[in-house]
Amino acid sequence: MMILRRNLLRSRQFRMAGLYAGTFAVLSAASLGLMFGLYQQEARHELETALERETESLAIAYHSQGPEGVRLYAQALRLQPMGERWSLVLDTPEGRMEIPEGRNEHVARDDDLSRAVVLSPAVTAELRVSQQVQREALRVFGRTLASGVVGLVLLALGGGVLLAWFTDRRIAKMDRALAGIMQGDLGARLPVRPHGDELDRLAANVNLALDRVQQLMMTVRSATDGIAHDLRTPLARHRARIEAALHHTPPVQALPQWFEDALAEVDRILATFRGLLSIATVEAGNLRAQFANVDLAALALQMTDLYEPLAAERGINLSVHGASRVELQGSRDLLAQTLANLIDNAIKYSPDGSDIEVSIAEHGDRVELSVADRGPGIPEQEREKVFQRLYRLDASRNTPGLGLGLSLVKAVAELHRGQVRIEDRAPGSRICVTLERGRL
Amino acid sequence: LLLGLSERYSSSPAIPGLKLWAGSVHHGGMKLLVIEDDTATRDYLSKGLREAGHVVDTAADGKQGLFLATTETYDAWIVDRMLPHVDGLKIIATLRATGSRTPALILSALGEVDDRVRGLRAGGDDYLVKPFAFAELAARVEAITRRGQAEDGPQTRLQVADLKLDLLARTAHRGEAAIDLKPQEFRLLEFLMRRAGQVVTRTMLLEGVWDYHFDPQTNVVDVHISRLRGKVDMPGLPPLIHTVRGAGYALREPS
Repeated sequence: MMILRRNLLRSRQFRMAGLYAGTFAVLSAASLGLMFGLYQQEARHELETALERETESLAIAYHSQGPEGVRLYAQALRLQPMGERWSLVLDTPEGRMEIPEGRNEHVARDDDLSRAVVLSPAVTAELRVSQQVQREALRVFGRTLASGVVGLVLLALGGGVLLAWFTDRRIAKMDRALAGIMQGDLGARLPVRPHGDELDRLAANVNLALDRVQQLMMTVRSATDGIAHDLRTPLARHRARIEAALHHTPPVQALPQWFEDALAEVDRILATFRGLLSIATVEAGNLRAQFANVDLAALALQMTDLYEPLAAERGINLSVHGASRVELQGSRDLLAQTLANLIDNAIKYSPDGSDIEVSIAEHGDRVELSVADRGPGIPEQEREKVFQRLYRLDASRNTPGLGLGLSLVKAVAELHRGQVRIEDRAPGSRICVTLERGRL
Repeated sequence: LLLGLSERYSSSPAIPGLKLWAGSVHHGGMKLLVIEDDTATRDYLSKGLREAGHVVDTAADGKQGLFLATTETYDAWIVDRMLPHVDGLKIIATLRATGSRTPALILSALGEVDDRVRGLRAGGDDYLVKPFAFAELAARVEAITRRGQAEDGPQTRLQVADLKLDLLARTAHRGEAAIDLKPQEFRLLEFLMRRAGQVVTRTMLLEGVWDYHFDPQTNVVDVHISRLRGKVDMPGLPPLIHTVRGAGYALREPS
């Protein structure tokens, strides 16, 4: 018996979770990076368009109001929302004008966008716009995106590991239950949750298989216990007989008879043993694998042929009724033995000169076999007990027999997924065996 | 019975190995090999078979059994199915593979239908479930050693003394008188006549004539035999069907 050691890192769930989280991380990083790039491009384009527009407006202001117009325009521009990002240098023959004052201190960035225009042969202006705001916005945006990606990846990875851990824990529980069963605790079952997933369905099916195994074990155990118990009585009787002979040795001339009687007793014990064993084999149910097509009507004819001389000796009329061909899936040997047991019983208990009727009838997917006699019948309260192993009616104690015939009939009927019932005929009884026809 | 046997064997050179023994040391006996690991069963078998006039070699395990079976010539092997070293079925299968056709009787504690089938498929000629009566074993050993002769050619007529059976016309005559037989009585008589001089047990009849492999509580076979006897052994004629006490029946010529 080997129980494989578990390793969470090598478990299937864990590897799946890791793979899933990794793929998710790469894909989300790529799509968010693309989004960031597009946003950056869009922001720069917007700024360039604004610079173009304002430069044109600046030129119009110069042409209508001269340098003073440019100054006023630039100042107005700076008063707009986010206007402080704009700056202007105006070079005129009168000197350089900077808006705002001390522009050089303010503008240190190399990546400022600027545009120079020649307003007149002597006047040039350079309009600059700082990208700092965009840069700031982009940084915040980028940081948000990055932390989003990291968060999502962590979430995926964590979820996967958690899921793997839960599944692994459930499988571990099943492993422990199975280990217990392998060590002999046949009553243990795998845990199943009420509204289960496929793992629970699997566990439920394993449990059903275990139920069947346990049931078979119980059958075998009770059969062996039964055999041991049932054989104790005749063995005890035999032992007493030998012990008595030891104390009071039979006269020499009686010895051959004594040995013959002892041998007959042992043979009877062996016959009982064989009978019990074959009932146990039939009850185990695994003989179904050997089922073949059997013509029950033909078999009934053969069996009545076999028993006909025995019946005729006592003037009993043995007849077969019903269809001439009734096929079913079954065991020929066991069905023959069933018929033999029923006919044998009927002959044993029938009065001389009476009738025994063997009938075979079909009812859809069931086949009914019955043997009716005019014997003493079986009292109502005894009808369940006669199927017990070694049970014999008080009235039949003096008739030879082991008390196993009807037990075998019942076992064979159940092997063929059928039942046995006893009907009253007053006088006499009819024993009906219903069998499932099976797939032919 | 043993006298009947010896007459038959001394005039039958068909069985190899018998020529050597038949006339000389063991008049009428066969040379048998018993492969059985249980000491008590082995002693019981060899003692019984020797008393019946046979020469018996024994082996306690598969290896020794295989050695004896390949180095000596026997009329039949009696092989236990469960043996140490090499199991019984394997021994028979191995010997069959070397071309040996010596009849083999398998003894086994396994009695299910498929166990029997497996035994016969491995090359056994008959299968006997333990425990068994010695008479059953003796009758079956006798039956398998004679089987070879019966298969020499397809027979259409069987005759024992003045009892004649025509297998094609399905008729039976005792002397000039026709015997009216039902189909299963005919099969029963044919089975007995093919084994004339041999002991046939009730189980052999149930298996051979009716193909039933179970043990009926009542001895139905006896009733069939007594009915057949009533038809074949007519009053005033010497009886041909004999009851062998503790074993079964035998059909043989009046001595």
